[in-house]
Amino acid sequence: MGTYRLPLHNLKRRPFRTAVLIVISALMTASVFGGLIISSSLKNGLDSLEQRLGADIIVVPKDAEAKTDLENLLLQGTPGYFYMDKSVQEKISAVEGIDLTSPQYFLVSANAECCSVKVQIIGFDEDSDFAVKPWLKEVYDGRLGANEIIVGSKISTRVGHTLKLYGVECKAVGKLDATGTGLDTAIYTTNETVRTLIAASQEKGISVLAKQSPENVISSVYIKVRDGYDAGEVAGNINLTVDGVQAVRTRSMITGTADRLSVISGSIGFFSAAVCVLAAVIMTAAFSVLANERRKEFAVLRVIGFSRRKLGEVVLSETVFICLAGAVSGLLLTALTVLPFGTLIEQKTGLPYLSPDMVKLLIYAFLAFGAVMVTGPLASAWSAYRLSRVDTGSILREGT
Amino acid sequence: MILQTNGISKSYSKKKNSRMITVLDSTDIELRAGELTVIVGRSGSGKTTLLNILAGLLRPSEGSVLYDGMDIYGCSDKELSAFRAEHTGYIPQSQSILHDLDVKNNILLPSALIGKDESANARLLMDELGIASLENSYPDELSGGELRRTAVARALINEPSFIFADEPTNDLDVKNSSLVFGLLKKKAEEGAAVIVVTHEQSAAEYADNVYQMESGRLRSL
Amino acid sequence: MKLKGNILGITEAAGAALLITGALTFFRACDASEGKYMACHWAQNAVVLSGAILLLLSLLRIFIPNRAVKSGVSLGITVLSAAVSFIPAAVINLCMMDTMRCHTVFRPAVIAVSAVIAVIALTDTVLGLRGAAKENGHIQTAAS
Repeated sequence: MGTYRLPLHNLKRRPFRTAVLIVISALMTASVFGGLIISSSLKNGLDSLEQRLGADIIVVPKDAEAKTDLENLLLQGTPGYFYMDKSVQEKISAVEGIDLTSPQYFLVSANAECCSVKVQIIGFDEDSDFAVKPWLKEVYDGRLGANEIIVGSKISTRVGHTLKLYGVECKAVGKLDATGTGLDTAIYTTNETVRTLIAASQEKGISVLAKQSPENVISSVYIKVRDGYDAGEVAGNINLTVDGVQAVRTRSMITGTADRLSVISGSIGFFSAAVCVLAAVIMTAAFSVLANERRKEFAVLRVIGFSRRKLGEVVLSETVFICLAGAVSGLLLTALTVLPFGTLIEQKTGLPYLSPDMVKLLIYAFLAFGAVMVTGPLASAWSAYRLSRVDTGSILREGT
Repeated sequence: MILQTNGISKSYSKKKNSRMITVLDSTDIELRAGELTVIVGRSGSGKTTLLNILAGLLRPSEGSVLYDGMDIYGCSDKELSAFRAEHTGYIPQSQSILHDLDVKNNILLPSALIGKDESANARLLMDELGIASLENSYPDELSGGELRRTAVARALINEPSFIFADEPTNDLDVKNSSLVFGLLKKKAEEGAAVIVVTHEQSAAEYADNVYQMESGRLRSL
Repeated sequence: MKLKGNILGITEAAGAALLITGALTFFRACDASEGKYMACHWAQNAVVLSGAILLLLSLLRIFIPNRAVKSGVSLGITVLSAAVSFIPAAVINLCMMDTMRCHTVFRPAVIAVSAVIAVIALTDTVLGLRGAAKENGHIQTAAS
């Protein structure tokens, strides 16, 4: 038996104590790793939302529910629909400071044959659109033809396959990357296709939740503000000059979401820190108690010829083995829970949520691993020092 | 090899700034290879203190301990530990077997420390001491006498040049006591310098030199 | 039945029981509506059946005395529980929308529980094989 095996023997012969310390290290690792994943996913989701909105202002009908419906759609993917007269777009374009405008049409299918849940369909104008096309271009470079759709990342249809909406075979020509927002559960298509779907639903006698046809109404107008103009002022002007509408600054939607996010992230950070501190305190106490119990054992090792340094190494080796086992278990446990349950976390928090990529995950895993591998040995350092300085003579006499 | 001391003594003060208590008066002793030395005396006479100083485990208040002219207390901890590991074997008075290792690994631990494989020697020692059947047993399964014999085997595994034994026959019956003394005598005859501290007067029959320790003072018998 | 040597087996049985009850209750896939079952229902059934087989194997592993046979059974548990994690989505399709319960709750829970069972069973197998080898070594030494 090499002396490097001595720490392992020591750990094996005290299984309960070893298991408890491993569990503590695992919990510490899990809280750091899990906390980092959730916080960064929330931030990614928010950044993604900001990018995907594309517009500075979104104009929706004046009724109070429309704004809430829009937020729910963007953040949680709750299908929504609201309409205003098409002429509103021309009036908006006339307001000073506006660079680009593009209308969108929302349709909700109560029963698409693909799924037994409501699906949000977003019709956009290919000629004037600036908010959706940059993203669509990444997955499909071309104009959408008749009955062609682009699906969000959370719809299971594969590219090239068809989806039946009200009996109409719609071909999915592209699938958007995950955004972590409610737009992941939407279907994008042209207004022409939307008209076709409405007609098909009426033929089938299925009541479509949309009340009017896209010839006369739109759901929202996306606006890009001209350089040098303040979006807040432009939104204010729209509200004053155009009847029946409300202009929503996307910045304020994002700020509102950011505030909620920072509360949640702050709580997660606090919780992780508390677990780490508690783990460090418990480990320090445990090693300190053990140091007292093992004075005689270390006196015997000293008698055999272990140097002070080697005694310290024995203690630190035990700690390293424990922390290693705990860190690996903690990382695996977190990977098995936090990552697969990402969509559920998104649903429960009601916030945009986009898991980090593999590189970031490895970095976070490394950080969590490092935190435990530093804390553990530090917690046992004082015990290691005390045991390496054990007074052999008096301890061996104590037992007589 | 020769172990010599020059006027070693040891004093303690129990509390800060209180009177010093002398447990070992100025002592000179010489241990030679091939000789078994016995020190007898009552409990508390200072025998264990002397033994620990000689074994390099307790720094004397005054004086020096020389192994072939080398002052062991002038060495670094690393050097002294290495010297102890390779050249000395120590049998403590109290139970000293490590609870996390079985009998065989306890015995082999000193050889593992210096990177040697002494499995064959371990087997011989276990046979001689009558504990071969216990090699895979753990200390909580053994009697006091079996633990004691394991400690003896552990001290002898590296064929040390100096063997220090503090009451090596505690917990042993007459038969096993004779066995242990016989083994220590054999090691002395093979060239080791053996020093045994005991209150058993019968140990003298194995000794080449006998000393008496009384109230910290050593005298030759 | 000794408790000490069967802790891992008992843990495996508990995991299998969790898989069965969870798949039928708190991490079940989508609910049936109007007597019509969605795609994920069949995945749920497959997981429940596999859980029952895992439970049976765990009980066998506990009550069979021979150490080498125990290890063989726990190897089987390892492989089967690893396979169970592939049932939702990979082997049997789930619903079309990733936001539905079968994707958000059922699938991650099945993966987590079956992965834990697989890791425990693998540890059990390795420890069991080493123990069986040690026993054989002792028997041979005693016989020689």
